Amino acid sequence: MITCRRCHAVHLEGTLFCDQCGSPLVSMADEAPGEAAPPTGKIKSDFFTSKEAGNETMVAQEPTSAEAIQEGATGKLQLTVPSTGRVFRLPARGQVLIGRRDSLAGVFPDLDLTPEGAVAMGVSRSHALITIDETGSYVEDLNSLNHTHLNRERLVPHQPRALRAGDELQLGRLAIRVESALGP
Amino acid sequence: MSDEKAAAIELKVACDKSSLPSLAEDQMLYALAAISATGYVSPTRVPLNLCLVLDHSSSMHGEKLKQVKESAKYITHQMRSGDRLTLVVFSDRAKTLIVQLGGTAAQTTSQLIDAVEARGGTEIYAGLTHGLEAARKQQTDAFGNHVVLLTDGHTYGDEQNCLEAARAAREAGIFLTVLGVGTEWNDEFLTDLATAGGGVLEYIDSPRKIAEVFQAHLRNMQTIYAREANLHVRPAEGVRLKDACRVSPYITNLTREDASMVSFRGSGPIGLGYGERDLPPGGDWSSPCQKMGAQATAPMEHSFRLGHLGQEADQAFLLELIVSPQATPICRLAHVRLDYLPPDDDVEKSLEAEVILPTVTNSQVEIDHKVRDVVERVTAFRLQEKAWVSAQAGDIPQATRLLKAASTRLLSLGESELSQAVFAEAQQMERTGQTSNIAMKRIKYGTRGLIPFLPRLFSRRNK
Repeated sequence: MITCRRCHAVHLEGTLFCDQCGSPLVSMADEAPGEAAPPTGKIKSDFFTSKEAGNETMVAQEPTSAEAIQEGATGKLQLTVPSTGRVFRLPARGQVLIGRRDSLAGVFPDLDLTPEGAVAMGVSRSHALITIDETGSYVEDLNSLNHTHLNRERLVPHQPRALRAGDELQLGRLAIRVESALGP
Repeated sequence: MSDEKAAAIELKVACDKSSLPSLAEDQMLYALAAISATGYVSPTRVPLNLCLVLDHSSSMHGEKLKQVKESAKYITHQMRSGDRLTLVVFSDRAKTLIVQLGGTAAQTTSQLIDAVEARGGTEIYAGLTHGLEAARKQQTDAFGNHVVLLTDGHTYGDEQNCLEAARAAREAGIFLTVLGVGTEWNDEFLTDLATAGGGVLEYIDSPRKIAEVFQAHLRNMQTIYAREANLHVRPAEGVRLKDACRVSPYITNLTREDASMVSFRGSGPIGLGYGERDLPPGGDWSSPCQKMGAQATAPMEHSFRLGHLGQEADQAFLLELIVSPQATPICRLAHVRLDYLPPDDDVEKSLEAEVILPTVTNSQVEIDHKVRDVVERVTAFRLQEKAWVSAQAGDIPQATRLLKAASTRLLSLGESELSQAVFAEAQQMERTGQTSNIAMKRIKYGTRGLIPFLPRLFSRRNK
């Protein structure tokens, strides 16, 4: 049996998603030893709230004092693309879809890497998902064609992994550094 | 002349796993069964007996009625030799406006349609029975018989009669499609009505889309490649069908109207996971997991009535199979069969496919991400469905939790716009404790149309 690590509902082996909370389920047999646990708490996304307020590029915004990033094991995070020097600040909580914009296909990721040469670098439209909640930050590959690597280890699709300052992400061939955010 | 080629019908099955791990406990296997037609289906191959039943009550005033009238005129010009078209309009009462035999519309047709005005209330039973009777008068065995009902409102007190009329018509070979325009129509009733009539309910959120939807349905009706199709699923010994739902052209729960079961060993029936509101009063078909006892391992055949299959709307079904340890050495896990009548022949044909997977002892099981993607979309659909049930029961915290969970899945699927709409509705519900009729329809009919173009599911990769 598999126990959902978010809501603790019990499911048969091989079940792909929890029917109670929708979380992807990971068989115990598939879990790598020592792997950090994915988010277990209730996600309180403030991403949409902020977007409604008109912040179009949520992740590139400096958080306001109302969105103070929680101090914790992961600290405050920002993503830096060394090839272009762009810096994206992650929200205090919520989810950030990373990929490349394709208006014909109706894909509008929160963090659009098109200006970073996403097509040439093999970034999928919906490449990876970062989730930030009270337990930490996590990155999940969304079954991208050219894969997501965390510290040079290829991520198993749909299995969230903990994300910390100092980590190196690679989406396709595009490298991204995970850093502690500067400032308040 | 005959350079027309009959459509080749395909039945394909794909599983979420490349192999089945050998386990000492029950495990879940997802199988996607897809039916499609390749090749050309001549639009003239299937003569059409079509009856349009159009609401012209006072709420249809303005752009809605204007678009409906334009669409009706368009359809009169799309009929072909051998087709039969009846146009019924209704409000408090119903009348037959036009009967058109063959492909040429009478000169007065446009004038008659233009003269229709918006007035009166909405009595769907009046329009529906009038339309079904009109379709019956023109019916012959060789025709594809369809009634398309378009309405924007509620009907009061005659719901049960409507359902019975639709059911009887379906038994007589007349299929009902329901088009709901705007946001005021009774979602639950019209869903049941379309199901009882063997067709689909389509949500038209804007009058501008009425013509487009009419045209798509017409194309589908003119390209029927299989009549009276039935899908049969027979799990092997030690394998049970936990749930089955249609995932294309829309995600919909299969209901008792669609299904029947036959035991090959004489043991009692096992349950399918129907939507909660489809349960009979005794609940005998409910609680799929509770009915998965040891006695339920005898092979059972589950049959689903699919009606006529048109080329514009490929059909696919997600089958959730529970595989017990006894079954794993078998490898052959389920038999899937499609029975149908060709468009121009009354000799039944069949297509068959097997769900076969090798068993492995290690954990190196590859996941088919296209099937997984379908399961994720169905998960999002079911979460939002449960949310509305919770909201109706007054459990707003549970409803908002489920909507947020659906929003997360949609985000993961790259459906950012719909995800945001769902999240916004969850927040709205949290603030006000109420659901919005408009948002509910947009979300419900948005999530059910989430499955990508079907052939992509069986191609190599689509990223």
